[in-house]
Amino acid sequence: MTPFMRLNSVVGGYAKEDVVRGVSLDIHRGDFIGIIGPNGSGKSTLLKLMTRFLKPWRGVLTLDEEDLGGIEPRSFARKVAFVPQDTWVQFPFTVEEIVLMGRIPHLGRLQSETKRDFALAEKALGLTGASHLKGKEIDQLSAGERQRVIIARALVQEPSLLLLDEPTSHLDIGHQIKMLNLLRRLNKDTGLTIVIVLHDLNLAGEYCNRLALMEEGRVFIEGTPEQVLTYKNVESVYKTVVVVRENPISGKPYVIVSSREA
Amino acid sequence: MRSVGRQRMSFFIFVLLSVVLAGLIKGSVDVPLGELFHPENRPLLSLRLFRVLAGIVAGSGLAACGIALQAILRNPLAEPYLLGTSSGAGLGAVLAVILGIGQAFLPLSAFIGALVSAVLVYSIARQGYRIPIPSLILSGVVVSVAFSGIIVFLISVSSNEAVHGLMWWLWGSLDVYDPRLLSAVSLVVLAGIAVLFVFAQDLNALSLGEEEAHHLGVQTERVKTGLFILTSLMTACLVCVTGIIGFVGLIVPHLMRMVVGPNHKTLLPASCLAGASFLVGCDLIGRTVFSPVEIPIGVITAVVGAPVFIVLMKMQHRVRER
Repeated sequence: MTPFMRLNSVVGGYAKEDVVRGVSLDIHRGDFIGIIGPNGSGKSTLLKLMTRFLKPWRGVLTLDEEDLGGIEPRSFARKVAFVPQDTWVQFPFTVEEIVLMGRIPHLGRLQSETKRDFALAEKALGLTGASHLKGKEIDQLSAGERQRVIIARALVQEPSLLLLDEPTSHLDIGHQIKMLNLLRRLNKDTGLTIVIVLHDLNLAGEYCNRLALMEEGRVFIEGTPEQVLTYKNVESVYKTVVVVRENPISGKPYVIVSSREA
Repeated sequence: MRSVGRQRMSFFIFVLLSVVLAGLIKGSVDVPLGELFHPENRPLLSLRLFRVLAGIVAGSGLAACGIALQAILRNPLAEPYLLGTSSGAGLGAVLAVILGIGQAFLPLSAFIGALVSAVLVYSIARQGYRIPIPSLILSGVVVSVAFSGIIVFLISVSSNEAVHGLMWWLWGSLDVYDPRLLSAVSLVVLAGIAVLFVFAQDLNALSLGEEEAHHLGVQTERVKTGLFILTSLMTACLVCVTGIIGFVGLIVPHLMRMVVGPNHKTLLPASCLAGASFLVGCDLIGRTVFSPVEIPIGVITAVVGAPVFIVLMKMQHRVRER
């Protein structure tokens, strides 16, 4: 099976500095891939290259074997949606208006939303457990509520690939689990392909079927959580002493940190 | 939801029509409605019609440009003159008067001055193929300050008496002395408003942030550049007919965002109607209250607009705290 999105020796970054220094990665339909790695290892930049917000300097990114640079922006937005770490909206749009904006790539310029668009927005808000927020103004919500609204907007785009950049970093553990459970359900039930940048190694190991551990702009190792989350890999990349055990409930690897310096 | 929007829109249309009617009847001489269309009143009627038209075009045009710029720049202080058009136009006007070609070429040189300063601001801010928003705002401020300095310098060293009559440039006037110029400008401005309305969805997306808009399939750099050029052209056109009317493009968008919400599909038409009513109303006040002395319209927009704005802002806060 050919991969859904393929990255081939991709190099890119900001201004003069390359942050991603040659990443090759295959993303298959139905994957739930976690990108992990220390601060500054190029995780978010890699995601920005995948959303086309940054153009690669070298290397090739393809979606369904089509070069990313050649895809028309609106058609790309119908296939790939993005959820940032946090969204700060300074205009008092209602939650419903924000979610409906996910339909922009599907609508013509002067076309107004149809019943189907409203129904999709309703459904997405239901899925993310945010239906009760519908009439509220976005700038009145808590970080957790806002994030659920933003995910609902991404779902309304009806993407095949969902990219998320540390979507849980402002949430408490309860909300983190709720959100990741939602993503897992979407991945299992609708076959939505997910690529997520996560800081928490244990959450990454728990939810993702594959992990890519990054170091200094390159993929250090890529594979199943069991293959990636070994104490050797983690100690070598994070320069921290850790112990890896098995999560007694899920059987996935579990990383325990130690205060001892490496 | 929809019918509420329609109700509000009809209300704004009603307000505009009432103000327009008042603008035609009232003035240094009051003409009763029945006599307005008598042949002997025709010169007065056409004079007032042009004035009202100028108010409608300038009010809606400035409000629409203000909305677009506030959405793109995501800065509450953004307004049509931010990109240097006002000081550029002022400088153009002053130069025309000093060179003694003010009679014939004042609008043209103001227009050129406005465009030159917009291009200057734009090229200072530009970094490669991108225009970063903070540098655009900064270069707008820098160019405005520099041009204003030159204006004051020229006025103070000039022995030309006519320069001192340029007061109306700095505070604006709806006194139309060239109907053909007004018609041409009206066409450009109304077409510009129509284009902005077509981009309402893009403005919604952009007001969330450039990156957000990018993820929704908006070609952000292209749309931004296109709308900067469009709004600069619209304000340059307006400035050469009415001079610099401040405040409308700043507060009408804010006011209407409080009333109808930030969705540009309703915000844009509502603000155009409100901006038009506001300017026609302010002009009416300016030419009747201290008649026969006429107060520059920019003075009225500031004096009337500021308290209205403050009251609404306070009301908004009280609603939110509940």
